[in-house]
Amino acid sequence: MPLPLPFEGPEPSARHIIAQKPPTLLDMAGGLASDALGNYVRSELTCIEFLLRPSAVESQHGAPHRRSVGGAKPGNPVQQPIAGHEFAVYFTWSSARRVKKERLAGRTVVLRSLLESESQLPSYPTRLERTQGFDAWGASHSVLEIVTYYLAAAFGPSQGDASWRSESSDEQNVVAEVQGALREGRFRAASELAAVGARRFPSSAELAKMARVLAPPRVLREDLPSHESSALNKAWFDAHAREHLGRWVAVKDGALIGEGASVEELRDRVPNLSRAVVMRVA
Amino acid sequence: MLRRSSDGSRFATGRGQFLTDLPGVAGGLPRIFVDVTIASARTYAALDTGGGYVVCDPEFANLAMIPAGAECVGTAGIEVRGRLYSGTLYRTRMELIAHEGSSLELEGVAFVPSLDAGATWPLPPAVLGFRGMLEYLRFAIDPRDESFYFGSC
Repeated sequence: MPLPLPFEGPEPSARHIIAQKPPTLLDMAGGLASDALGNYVRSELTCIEFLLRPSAVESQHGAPHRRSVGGAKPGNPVQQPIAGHEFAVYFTWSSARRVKKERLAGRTVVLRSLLESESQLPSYPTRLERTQGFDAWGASHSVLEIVTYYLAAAFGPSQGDASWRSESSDEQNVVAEVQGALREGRFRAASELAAVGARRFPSSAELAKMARVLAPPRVLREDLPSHESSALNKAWFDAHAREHLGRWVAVKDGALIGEGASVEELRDRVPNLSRAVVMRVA
Repeated sequence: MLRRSSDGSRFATGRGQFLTDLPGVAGGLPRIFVDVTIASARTYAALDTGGGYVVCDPEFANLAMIPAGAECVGTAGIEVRGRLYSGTLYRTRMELIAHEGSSLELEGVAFVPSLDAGATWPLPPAVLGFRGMLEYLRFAIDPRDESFYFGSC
């Protein structure tokens, strides 16, 4: 650092790509840096995904258990200072053929050749092919250098881009980003964008609601009683379900208490469905 | 018997029983169905390690009174068998029902698709996806006695 910005000129630049992303942990994990480099996707080659976690979080919660989009489990992290903070950077990689191509966009970087082992990845010289009018970094920088560069540009105050700051300071932009992520099925992105947005704009009722609704699941109680009826109901379904093909059924304490062509019809016949298992057998 | 981890701590706090081979359900594909209550209605939900959140048939969601009692965010999209469905995300409560040990109550996100008039939802009444739901829990299955173990993590 500092590395030169590789993408300049009228075409989309790295700064522009970064400008589209507010600084969330999700984007760090899912790929600010990989977004910027994602233009090099080649489906027949290798995908790489970055997972970035603050070292403080790392020491408190341990290694991440999530797998990459391609199914590879994160290996040992590289400790890397970024914008004045220590981060644990995980790299995972897998065959691009295992990942739907549309999911690759913005999340992965493709190298020209497979690596011999995952541990080689961070220091691997980049051999990114020039595509879509972008200038390549060439082979002079490692994957880790490039990741670090983009993240520092996005998060570091001295490297931040003015246009990015003005865009992300607009609450409506964050709302629109969350909505866009939801429409595209990027639920985890939406959840973390909403959480960060709600912290940054505490007076925004819309972002507060988004953050509440989209928050990760939370265990409320794990001491609720067991249900004896569970085994009885299972026995009924094992023995009798196929007699009711195409119907909604209600089973309680191991006995059928009603059925119907629709939930509405079932509810008309059995107004009290409390504790009954309701299932469509078709 | 509830399983323990290698360090002696309890792996699961509850054990339910799962169903497979429900006739006509899930297009005949073998699935694992677990006993759950979603909002106010109980059903067997299919486990989907390739899916996300809890996905509910709109008819079932109405029965469970999800739209009436939960905060929501729309519009979200999910792809089911090559087709994109739009719908609404609700914050709702659910319970994994134990036959042994303790049942577990949690709060998470349920997706309820918006269907055209007359259209039928192609999935079971409820589907528990890995992303955004199961990935935050411990769970395991034992096919020998059709047990579904679960706990917080």
